[in-house]
Amino acid sequence: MGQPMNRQLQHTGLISESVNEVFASEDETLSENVTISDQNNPLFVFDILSEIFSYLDNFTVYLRCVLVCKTWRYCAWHLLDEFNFRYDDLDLLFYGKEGERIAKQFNPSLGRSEAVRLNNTQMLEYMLNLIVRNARYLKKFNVVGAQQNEDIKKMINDERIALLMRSCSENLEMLDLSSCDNLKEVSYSQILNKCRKTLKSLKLRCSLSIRDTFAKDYISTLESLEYLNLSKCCYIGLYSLIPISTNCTKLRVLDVSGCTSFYGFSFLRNCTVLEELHVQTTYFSSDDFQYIPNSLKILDVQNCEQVRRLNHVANLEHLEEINLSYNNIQLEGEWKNHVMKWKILKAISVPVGCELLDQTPYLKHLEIGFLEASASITMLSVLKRSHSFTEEDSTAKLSTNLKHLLITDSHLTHSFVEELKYYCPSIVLKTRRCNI
Amino acid sequence: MSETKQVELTSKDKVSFKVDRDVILMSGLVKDMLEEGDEDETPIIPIPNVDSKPLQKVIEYCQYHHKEPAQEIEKPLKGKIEDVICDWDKKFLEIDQSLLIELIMAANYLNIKDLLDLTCAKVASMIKGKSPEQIREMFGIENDFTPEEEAKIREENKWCEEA
Repeated sequence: MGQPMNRQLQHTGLISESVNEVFASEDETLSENVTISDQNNPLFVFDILSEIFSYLDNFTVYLRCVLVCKTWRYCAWHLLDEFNFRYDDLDLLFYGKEGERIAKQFNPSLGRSEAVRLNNTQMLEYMLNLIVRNARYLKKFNVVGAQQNEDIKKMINDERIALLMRSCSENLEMLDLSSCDNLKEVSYSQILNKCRKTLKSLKLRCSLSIRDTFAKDYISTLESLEYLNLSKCCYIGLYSLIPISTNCTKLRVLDVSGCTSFYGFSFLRNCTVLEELHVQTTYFSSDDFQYIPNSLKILDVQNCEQVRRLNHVANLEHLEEINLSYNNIQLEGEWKNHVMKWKILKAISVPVGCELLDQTPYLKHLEIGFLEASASITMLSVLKRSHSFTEEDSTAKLSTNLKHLLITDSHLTHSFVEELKYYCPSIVLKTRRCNI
Repeated sequence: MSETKQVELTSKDKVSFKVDRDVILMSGLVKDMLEEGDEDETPIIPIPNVDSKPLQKVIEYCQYHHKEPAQEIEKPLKGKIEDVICDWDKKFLEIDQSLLIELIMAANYLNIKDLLDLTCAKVASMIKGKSPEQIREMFGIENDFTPEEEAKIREENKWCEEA
């Protein structure tokens, strides 16, 4: 299994055995060995077939190619190591007139667009049924867009997860079941039990059936976990986050945005290799900055009412990107002595947005908003003062680290825009909802 | 490399082709062989797996694309392959199917990635929109499922196959 592919499929014990396994998991009648009709035909060479299949959409491969012959069937399922279940997959197969024609053929009594939708949904469901039964080599299973699409949401149910868990081996590394809120706890426990050792990335955004006790019992046992997204899981709290922080020692990314059933983030000090933290719209407070480990590179604390001061942020020396938007921050005396190495700053609707620029001369990307006309002039002078390499005389052009500047919801003067263009020609200015 | 050095390739059916060294370096296999061997005036490289007809086609491809690098073909294909490749490649692919299959073999053996991509994408494009039965017919693939297996598969796939 997973053996070198640059060779003919042959009647070796190894290959035949894995073929049997592939078939057995899907259909017990398909238990004979693969027979190869022509040794010199490239259409039976694993490497070449996989190259050909890579140019095809999932529907063509898993609904049609798998029915051509045993070799193709074996090869197709063997190649299935990543499956992204998404509605727009269908666009590749059924687009334009042909799609409508096929849809009408199967659903003659329906109107055209309704027929297309129903047909697409049936196709998608059919494919999902095949995939969950043949997932032996699957490493990544991602459901994309369940939040926007009720059909997709309904298709991911407990029965199919049970099938998936029966057919997949203990290889699953990445799982995204965001917004699949028809699932019961039993499905999650099956998955997490089976993939406890291998799962590296788990995304359960908006999974409303995940309770705190459950997360403690199962998620905190995932020893390989590097990425965890529990955003908008409304029941998640400290009862699970504390054991997760101590047991999942490889955790590099944590997203608990929109989790508002707890406050106090001191558990973060246990996450010693954390690089990315998202706590948007939570009770994260100014004091909680002190618990963030020094390894952090990316921090999203936008829209946190309790974030008022930045004093402890100064200690995060590896921080490269920070989102402080929509926070009512005040800068205190001590803070102004620091120079931050941030490369990306998002500070839309932050009263001290422009002042922050004085401490951040290495910025490459800045997003700022809700500026008064006077504030934009302040910004220009700060840019000239702190962000430029050379200024030989007052008319000279400046060279800045800053390359991308996005200004939103502001009144800007023509002279500001002209001056910015003139003095800082290397900055690309974009505006959104601005009057000039 | 002041003057253009040449290489002589000999096909399976013993036909010789003289090619500029720069051109045939697009083949990973030939490149490796030239690096190993000593610098003869015109080294002779046997290509025992490839007939003269596909070999000539391969050389034609290299002669064009060693100066004009091929553009990557987007995966998965959105329409027909002819919509996404250059005119030269389109013309190049106007060949019968048995030669196309031989070309895939040759590109694979000689390790010419861009040519392999192009020919595989062409086959993929031919597969698109066809039923399993049509695919088998097109490429002369034997249906090796037993009647019971096929019945079962057919039942499962009833309405997709008709599409």
